[in-house]
Amino acid sequence: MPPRSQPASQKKPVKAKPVVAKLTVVASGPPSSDSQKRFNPLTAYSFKGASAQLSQSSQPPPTKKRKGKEKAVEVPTDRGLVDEFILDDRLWVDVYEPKTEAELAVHVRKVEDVRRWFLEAFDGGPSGKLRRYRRILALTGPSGSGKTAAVRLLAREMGFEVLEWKSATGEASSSTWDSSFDFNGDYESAFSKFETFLNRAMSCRSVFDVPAAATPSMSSTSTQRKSNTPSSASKHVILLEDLPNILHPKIQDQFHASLRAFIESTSQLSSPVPIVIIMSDATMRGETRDELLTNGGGAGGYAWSREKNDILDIRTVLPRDLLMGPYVTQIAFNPIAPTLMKKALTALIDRHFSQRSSSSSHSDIVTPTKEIIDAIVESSNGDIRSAIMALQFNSVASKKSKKGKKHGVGSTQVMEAVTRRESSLALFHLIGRVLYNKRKGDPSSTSASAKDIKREKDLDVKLKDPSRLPPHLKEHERRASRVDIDSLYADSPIDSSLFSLYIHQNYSQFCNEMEECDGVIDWLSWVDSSGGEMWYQANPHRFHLLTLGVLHSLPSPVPRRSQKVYKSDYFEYLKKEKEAWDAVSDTRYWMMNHRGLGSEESLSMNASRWSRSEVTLELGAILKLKQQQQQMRKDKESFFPPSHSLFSKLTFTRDDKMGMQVDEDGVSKEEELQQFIALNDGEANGGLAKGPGNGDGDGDDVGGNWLENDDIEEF
Amino acid sequence: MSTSKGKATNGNAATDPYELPWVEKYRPKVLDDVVGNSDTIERLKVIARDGNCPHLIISGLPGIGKTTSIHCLAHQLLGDAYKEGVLELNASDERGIEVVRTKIKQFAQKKVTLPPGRHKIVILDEADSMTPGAQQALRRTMEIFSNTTRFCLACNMSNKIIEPIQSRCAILRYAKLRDQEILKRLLEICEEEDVKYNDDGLTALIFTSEGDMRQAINNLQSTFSGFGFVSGDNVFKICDQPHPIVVQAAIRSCLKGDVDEALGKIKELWDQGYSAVDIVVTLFRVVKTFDEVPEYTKLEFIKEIGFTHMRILEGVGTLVQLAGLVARLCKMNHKPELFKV
Repeated sequence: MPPRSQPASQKKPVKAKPVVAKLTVVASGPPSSDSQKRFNPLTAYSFKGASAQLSQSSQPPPTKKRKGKEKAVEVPTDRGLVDEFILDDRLWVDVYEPKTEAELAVHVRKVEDVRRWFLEAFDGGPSGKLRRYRRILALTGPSGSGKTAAVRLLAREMGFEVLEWKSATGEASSSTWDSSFDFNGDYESAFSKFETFLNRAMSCRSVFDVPAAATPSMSSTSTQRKSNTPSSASKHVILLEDLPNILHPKIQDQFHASLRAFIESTSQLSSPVPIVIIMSDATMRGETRDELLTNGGGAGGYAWSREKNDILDIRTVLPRDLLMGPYVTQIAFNPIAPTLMKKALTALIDRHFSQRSSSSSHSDIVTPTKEIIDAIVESSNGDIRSAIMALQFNSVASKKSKKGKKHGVGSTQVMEAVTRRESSLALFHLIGRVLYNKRKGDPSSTSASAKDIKREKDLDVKLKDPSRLPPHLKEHERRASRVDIDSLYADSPIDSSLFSLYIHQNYSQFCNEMEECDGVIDWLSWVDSSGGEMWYQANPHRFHLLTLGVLHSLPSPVPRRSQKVYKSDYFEYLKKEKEAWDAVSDTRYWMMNHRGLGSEESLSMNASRWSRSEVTLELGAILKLKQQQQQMRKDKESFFPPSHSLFSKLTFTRDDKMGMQVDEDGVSKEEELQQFIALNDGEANGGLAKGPGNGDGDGDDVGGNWLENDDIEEF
Repeated sequence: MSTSKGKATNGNAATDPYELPWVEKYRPKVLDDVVGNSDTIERLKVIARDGNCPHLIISGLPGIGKTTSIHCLAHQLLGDAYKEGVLELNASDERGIEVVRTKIKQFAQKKVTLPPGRHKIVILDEADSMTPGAQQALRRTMEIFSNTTRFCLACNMSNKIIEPIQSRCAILRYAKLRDQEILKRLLEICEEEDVKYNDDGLTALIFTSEGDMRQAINNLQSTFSGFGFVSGDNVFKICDQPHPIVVQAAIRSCLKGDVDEALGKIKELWDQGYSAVDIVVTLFRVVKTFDEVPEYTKLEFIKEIGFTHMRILEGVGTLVQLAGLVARLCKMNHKPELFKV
């Protein structure tokens, strides 16, 4: 990739300098395969052999001590040194980009799906006819689930070329464009550049068949990247990842129009170019506006606001008719399963550290311990990119800590600082501190060490007994709390609205009596209602009210029955709800387009008269019945959009038995199949992609989302 | 909100026109000087030494050193090359999609000669104010140019940053500064500037700043240049906040159920010209740290104060509103039978 090679040329002279100064000491040991790499840094990276070499010499940021050593080893070949430091510069995410399918942490079946799509797109599948319909592949999924990596890997493996659209504002281009297009306005041209790119990519394909160096005309207007697969220049894929600003309605329309045009114009071609669109699910975490509207506005306004969300998802990128049509295939990636991620991370570390230590004879390099990897895996929420980032960041930190004390002692603290995302240890400490509701004079838990007991005693001495309440409030008398709310507030890793979600998810395990639950819930609703819309985010009272209220309501002492702290299901449900609303609008769309369809008169009235809530409430039952009827008759043809079951058929689930249900429905659509696979993946994941229902009280649930009792205790 | 009211930095200009605001004068230059969050800072120091800075998101409340530590990091990483190697954009700069597309990309493509392991740095201050569209546009840019350019984002709420960007960054969360940490810094500055103070004054500064170092230092400077001596009373005068002693007295009366006295105290504050928001905020601050209030009462008090605060923000900031609050607080400590008709 071109950008990668740039620093090579510019850094070379800089690097050479200090070397010359120190050069006298130097001994032997030139890297063996350097001469091979020298001539073409551009292509060298894409070869497997070279990549192995890369990772061998690549290093995390060296400490001062190490730096000197490296120089001594590497100096003889100037070139080797330069390589060394170029590689230094890169993030691990780039350095260890998966090169083989085995390294890719994505579920095998998912990769297989994508591969099959590409095969069909290029060769037409077994029947040879599918090719027409394999026009657009939409890969969706949370960020860091390996979508891009999978495409790149398959490109390498199957030998096709990826033309990627990158919105063009290179220095050269912008200066030339600015001068000539000042009067037309630059804004317009941003999109027209995209159109030009798309048009040329599909119509003038011959241009790309020429080797990379011979396409200067294109690179001046739009930058495109070529993956370095010299073997076959005949197969192409257009990759759209950096989309135009489609949040802007006008641009969005234009974008849709050009995609439609793309499909129309290429369906006649004998060997059309498929498009791959990669979309990360970009939800804002803790979308508090939604919560507000749930409390306030009615269903109608609620749905509308949801619809107008600034969130970029597959439905804004692809117009609905395309999405439902035969030309678009959507493959949804799941978060990476903990087992797979752990394997990948361990492999990465092995590669990184084994080669480092052998090449540099430093025995004191600290490889991250198993606990650290576990913690990273757990806190990453299935996002492998952030896991690798955390790992790299962590290795920086641990090298420092090795100097003083034995590493591993502080590993949890290290992790705490590195990955303070939602599910981090700090959060669980916080929740544990509040929910265990320790008060002055509580007996220590049986597992507590002597030191802990002493610490608690010391604390108790410092705590003053609270002043008495008036007689009529006697029932609210409590012993002094060991919880220091102010310091909790200071250390809280999350804002208080998220905190209340977590409390809500978990409080019931900690209560003995119904009255206590009532108390907690009561206070939770006070907290919710005391936050006016105007200062939802910054409500200063919220945290104190919540913590005090929960502490007050919980029994004291809280009985120990190895409670487990779960993540809030709220976001899971929010997602489901959004999907259901999308299904509603799909159904409405379907109604509008199928009016007067013989047997469906009852539905074929003017759909625009149906409001969303009407579709949900009144049509749902009919759709459900129709579907059952079809099943009785073993009809394979389904008239309705299959997604309607998301709102018409609401099932009570406590576990992920959904997979079986989908099977029974037997709707013979590819989407359903994918859904099925997705759900099965969920099972394999052991909890990460698990739907709702690993809620409170599921004692025997074996997910991976909680920390053990003891962990909370330690703190 | 109301906490920012106390910032009256302009006052110092009168004494010495060339004097910098102390916030700037004593802004840490190296990571070693950054106060608080020692674990995280320690890690940043390692990065500053070794280079290869990952993409970073630093989140936390205002005035706890987010921007400062990013600047320190950038200075220590790039040294003399800081000028050409750093692009800084904050909320006051235009940061729409076009800017991400043009300015940031151009910067990322710019060739700057840097030592190995060092990268150009784009600092996006207050990144949570960027529109989702702009953040989307940033997403790919971060990845493509990660070889040459690293991004450091500072924000108050990391959940306002879209997931794909969070995924690309190491997220550091800064905790609120502790009172001792602020105190230490204030003492250093007092020493340096030869400020006369008493303990009461420093306590008042810490009370009014609520963990916001910037505000504490601003208030210190304002008090010093206004009165020449940092005492509790002077600080509250400068910060224009109701004196907590008065508020404490009011709360105490409420605990005793003495409506008249409590109302008198509130009226006293009102007559001094404090707005309802000022008073209610101070009430909350006092209550939450007031030892004499039993836990349950504290809880109920905070609830009532919260609701009153909300109503005041909705526009009904009258003395009657406050009197109502006080009456409710007092009622809590009377026997319920007394109110039966």
